[in-house]
Amino acid sequence: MPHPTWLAYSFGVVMVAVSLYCIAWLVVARRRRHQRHVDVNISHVAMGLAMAGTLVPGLNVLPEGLWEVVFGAVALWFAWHAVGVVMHRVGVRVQDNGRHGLSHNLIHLVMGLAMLYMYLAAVPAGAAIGTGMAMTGPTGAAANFVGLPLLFVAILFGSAVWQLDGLSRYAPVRGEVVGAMTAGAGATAATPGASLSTGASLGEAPRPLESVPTPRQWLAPRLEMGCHIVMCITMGYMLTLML
Amino acid sequence: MGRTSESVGTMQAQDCTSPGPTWRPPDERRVLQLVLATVWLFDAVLQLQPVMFTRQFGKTMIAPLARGNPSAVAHSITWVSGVITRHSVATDAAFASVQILIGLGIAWRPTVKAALAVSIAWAGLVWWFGEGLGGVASGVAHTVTGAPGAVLIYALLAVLLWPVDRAGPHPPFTAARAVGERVARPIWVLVWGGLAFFALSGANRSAEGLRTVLAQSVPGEPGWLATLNRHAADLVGERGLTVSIALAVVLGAIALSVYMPWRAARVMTAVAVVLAVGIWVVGENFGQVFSGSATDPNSGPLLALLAVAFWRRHPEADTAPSSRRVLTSETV
Repeated sequence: MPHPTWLAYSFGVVMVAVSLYCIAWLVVARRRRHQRHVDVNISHVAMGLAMAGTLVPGLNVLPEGLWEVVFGAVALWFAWHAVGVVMHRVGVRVQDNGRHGLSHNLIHLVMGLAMLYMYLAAVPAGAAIGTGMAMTGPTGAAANFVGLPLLFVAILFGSAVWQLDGLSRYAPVRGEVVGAMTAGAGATAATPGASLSTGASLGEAPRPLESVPTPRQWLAPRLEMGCHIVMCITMGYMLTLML
Repeated sequence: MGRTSESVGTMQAQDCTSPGPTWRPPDERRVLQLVLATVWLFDAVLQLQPVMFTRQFGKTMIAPLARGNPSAVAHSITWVSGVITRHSVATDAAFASVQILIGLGIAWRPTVKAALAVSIAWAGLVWWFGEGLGGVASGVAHTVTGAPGAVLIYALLAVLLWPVDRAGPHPPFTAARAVGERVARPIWVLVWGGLAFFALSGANRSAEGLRTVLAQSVPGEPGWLATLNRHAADLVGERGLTVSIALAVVLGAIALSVYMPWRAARVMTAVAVVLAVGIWVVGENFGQVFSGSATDPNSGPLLALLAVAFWRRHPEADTAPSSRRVLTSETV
């Protein structure tokens, strides 16, 4: 069944925009010395470009086979850190960057695996450059594993709505509340290791009030969360087409 | 009974730039709302499948729903299917957009009420034109295939999960927070009692009826699901009536469980969740989402969600000092 080209292009353009935004975000955050979620943003850039290339073959920037390696590495990275968080919780000392919670690592692990699934299970549609999606649903034995993309879709959409629900946490703070927050930030910074506990990263469960980060710690959090939401929806859409 | 401050009212009153400190982690009801939002999002992307943008959607998926319905209903469905067939791309894009907005609207706190209200109206339209009244009037409704229409449960959940708290004693389950126990309990009885009724209505009373329903395979469904269907159909065999009666008895017990003591109610609610998931897998084939032509995941997940909303709290939790009653004005 041919897919509407305009829809694929629309999603593709959004993905390119998200990727470019994430690159710009990383540069600005580095210059202004904000908290950087390098792994998150780099994975978002990779996923955005890969999905754009799948939706609009003309936008594919990597040769065939390389994306599988990239997303295998992404999945391994977040799996390793998820294990690190779990081990840390059960009292085993492991090296961990400590910046992200378990849910953060797990959702990005799922995203990496979902991308990997898209490349490994999908069948190239043989579309010419500039026309429609380059992939269709799996066939043969792979078609029996359609429960997996359904699970991915549920997790991705769940993550998207969870993030959207938490968006209000990072609404701009005004007036005396700003002062209170700034003072709180100073106090927090004075506590060794306290900065590690601030700022729920993408995919993490919303945290109680006291862990709301100050603007200086996390650059444009709502936009970053918005990127994650858009990414999840687009990925969920592509996986749904493969069901 | 009056109503206390509205749960999302605080967020709205503070405008969009409300400061972070008013934010509260999601409570039970908010989590259920988010699950509902997730299902709406899934609905939306199903609506973006290639076949939905073709004339086939109106012609072969909407138009046949007119069959067997009363003339006024049938005519309206035929007319709508004609419009959808002629303007397939525009109408489908609009349908998908509405559903995406509902899903995102429920998930974003400042718009949760508006989105739930729209979802109720939208569900009514879809039930009429998109589900042909769920087969209720045409006599083809069956509990194991999603009768009386999944979309009705979306609307019901929007009402039960409405972000408002009634004044008075702490309700024993989440679904009663907005409408009160006196309304919530009959709703539960109506839903599960209705399912019991549809399990025994029309052709479902025949010896072969249930087997025929279960054996229907969907093009494109995975092999393991087709095998599961075949086994389930073989298991039922010609004992369709017996199985239907047993199913109706269980559904009836679930319906009445809302008036049972909390332990029994919890057991029956758990049974309801298991049954909903079972129906979703075996009878509804996951809403036929693997066929490429599903518009929603059908009623199974929604019934399970409904059951969770009626999960009975421990009675001691109900008698505990109810500080929540004061705080709910700031929580969703």
